[in-house]
Amino acid sequence: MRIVELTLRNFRNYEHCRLFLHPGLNILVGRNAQGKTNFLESIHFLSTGRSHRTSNQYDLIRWDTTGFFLHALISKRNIQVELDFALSSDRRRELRVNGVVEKKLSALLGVLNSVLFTPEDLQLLKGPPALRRRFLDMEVSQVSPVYLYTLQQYNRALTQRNNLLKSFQGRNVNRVALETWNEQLVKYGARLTILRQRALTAMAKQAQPSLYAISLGEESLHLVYRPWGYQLELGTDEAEVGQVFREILEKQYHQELRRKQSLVGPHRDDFACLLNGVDVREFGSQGQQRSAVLALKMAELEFMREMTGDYPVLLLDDVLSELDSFRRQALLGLVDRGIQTLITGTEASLFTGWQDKSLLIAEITDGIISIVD
Amino acid sequence: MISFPEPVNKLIGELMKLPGIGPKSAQRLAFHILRCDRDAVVELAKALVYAKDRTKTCTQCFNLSDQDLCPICRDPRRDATQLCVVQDSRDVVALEKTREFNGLYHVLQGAISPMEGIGPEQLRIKELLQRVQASPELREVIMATNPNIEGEATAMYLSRLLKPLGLRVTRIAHGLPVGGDLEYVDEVTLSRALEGRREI
Repeated sequence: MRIVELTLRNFRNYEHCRLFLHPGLNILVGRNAQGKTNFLESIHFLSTGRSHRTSNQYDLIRWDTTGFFLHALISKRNIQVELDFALSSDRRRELRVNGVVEKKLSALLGVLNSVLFTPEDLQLLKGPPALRRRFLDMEVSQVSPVYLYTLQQYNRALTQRNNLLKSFQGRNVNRVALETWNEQLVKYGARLTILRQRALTAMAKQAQPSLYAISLGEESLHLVYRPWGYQLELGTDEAEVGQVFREILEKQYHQELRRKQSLVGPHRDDFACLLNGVDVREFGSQGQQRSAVLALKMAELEFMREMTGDYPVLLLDDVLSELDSFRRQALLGLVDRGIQTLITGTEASLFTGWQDKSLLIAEITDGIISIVD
Repeated sequence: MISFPEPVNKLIGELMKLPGIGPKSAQRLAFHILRCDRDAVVELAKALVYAKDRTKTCTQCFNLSDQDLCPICRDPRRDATQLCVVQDSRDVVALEKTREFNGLYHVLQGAISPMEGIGPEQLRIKELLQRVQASPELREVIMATNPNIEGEATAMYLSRLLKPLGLRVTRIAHGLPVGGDLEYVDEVTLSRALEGRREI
């Protein structure tokens, strides 16, 4: 999958910008605060329907204008798809796929797949579990509408159940109502657990060869799913997970009534990266954590290709300065696999050694992109 | 809106309170009304008040009705062994259009949603239980609440209360629309249809 052409209008600091992208490597050079990240953000937004930097879509509208517009021409194995997205400050939104208006934002998912790698991702393994859940959700939702649906239903059931727990006063507990919501939570929660396990297993298979490519092949990498407080065996089916979930809810009954919130379930999930059998989060060196994150991102690319039959677009935001030359070469190797890559950096010198590839180099200054010959 | 005379502004303001009517639509409707004959406008105004004054909810099933008992509850030919539970009066109309169901209805007037502060007490659930207990001929209760998470939870809640009474409690099926092609169905609907598959 690749982006042939991208147009931004009144998006962040871009007034109007239209760029034909190279099918392979695209290097965007510019000083800080000129709009490099904004450009990648627009692509990530078109692929996921949200920004990785803000939860408020209206922040994306250029200052003093009434709305932004994005257009992408995408080529998927030689089939062309057009994607248009417009958002105005009076809360009107229009999404078009091949010119057809789509009411649901989720119609966006799967049209343009992308994997974004930013310096903040280096926190992925060190940071709180919420970051890893978000990583997993964003990634799998792009390629599986069923996953997204299950996640949304689970979150809805969770919100309803939390509201119910909050509404109970003292001994005035409607047990049948609580059990009804338990069943909804269990139904979607068990399914989500199975889907997450499946996705992580598929990714884990890709992570080892990915790590091999970026380290010297001495290390082993395992991804271990750690669902909400119990050991999930491979091959456990949905009904069994549901039964365990039900039993744990039963045990947590008094605790949940006291705390007035749901204490167990996939909203408490986590996964660990084991490097040579040791959890990177706790014992890994800075370098090892970087390798592991990079391997995870590369595994994500392979996972998406496995699910969709096509590589997503790779967006690398200012990560070169964080990596040593060996790992930079490994990243460059990805382009050789036919992955369209957009990479940003503050100086052209970071890309020394890349020039022998066929590529596009563009310079960004204050929201204006100019092609460098 | 400053440029319109006060009575017109008042009309536009009232129309804007209606669901799905924004400022532009309200303006268009107001101007249409102003262009109409006085008689037509009086008819419209009368119809509004008439509908409001003359409709109440049926004392048995809580469907909309112009009498104490709605036409369905009054009809002796309806099958009293089957009771279909729905969220809204509009659902009754939808089911009646099928002409397939000849039993009676019970309109809950909503679905359980703790987020919106709607618990079993806010719905016609107590009345449903009283009605079920007072109907010895009743055999089956069909849950026809919406196939979303609140509708499912409501159906499940009711089945927990009704099953101990020795009734058959059923849930309407969901899945593929009839007459369509499989290839045009979205993945989520298709996966749910697959889940609810039956032996043939």
